[in-house]
Amino acid sequence: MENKSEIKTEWTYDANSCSLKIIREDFKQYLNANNVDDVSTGYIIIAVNEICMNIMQHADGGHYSGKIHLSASIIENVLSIWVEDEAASIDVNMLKVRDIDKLEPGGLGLFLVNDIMDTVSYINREHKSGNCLMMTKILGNTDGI
Amino acid sequence: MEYKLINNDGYSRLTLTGDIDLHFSPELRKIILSVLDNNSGLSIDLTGVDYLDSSGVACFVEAYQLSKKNKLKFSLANISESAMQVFKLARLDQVFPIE
Repeated sequence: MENKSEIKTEWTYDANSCSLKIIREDFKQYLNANNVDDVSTGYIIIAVNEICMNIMQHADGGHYSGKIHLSASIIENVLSIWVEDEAASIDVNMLKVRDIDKLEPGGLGLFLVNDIMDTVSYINREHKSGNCLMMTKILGNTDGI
Repeated sequence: MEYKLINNDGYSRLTLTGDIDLHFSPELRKIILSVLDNNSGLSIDLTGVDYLDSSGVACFVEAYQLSKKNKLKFSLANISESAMQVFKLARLDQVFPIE
């Protein structure tokens, strides 16, 4: 895979649902420009969309109206994505991932993200406010996951 | 996101096109619950769905559960490739009744 993107690319969006389609389109463009295959691109866009949606739905008790900062880089064949907000810090232990054996409407988003990406972790920002989630994916798997 | 709802003798057909994401899913939930509240069975056609996120899936899960509880017919039909990708990821492709 050719690496054009060792420099971090950054985007900023308003944290409202109107931004989701734009986020998906921007990220698709970024992955296409870096020769990521269509199947992997489809899955990665699902993960990015779900994380951004989680911020819109749950940050600051569902009232967050600030910005979402996205950044990404591809070094060798590892895609790294950072998703940041300026909301009150969350308790990572309170994040709900759906029990896949239970059929319930909520909690599916983080399950999908964990399934698609190779690593998903919240970064301790020490004295900085807001939250930062970092996720990585090794590119090149033929099935996209 | 666009939709077309046809009611026919106690059974409704909801056809969805475009992107089903958080921007539209609150409205979709209202539409679906309104149909089921009228004791109508429901089939949802997903042929034209370009993108489906977990908020849209949550609407279908809620509708399926409510239908079962109220003994109403519920099914998904003509599921687009992108929507099926999400159902499979969520291990729901074997759960929903599919026409």
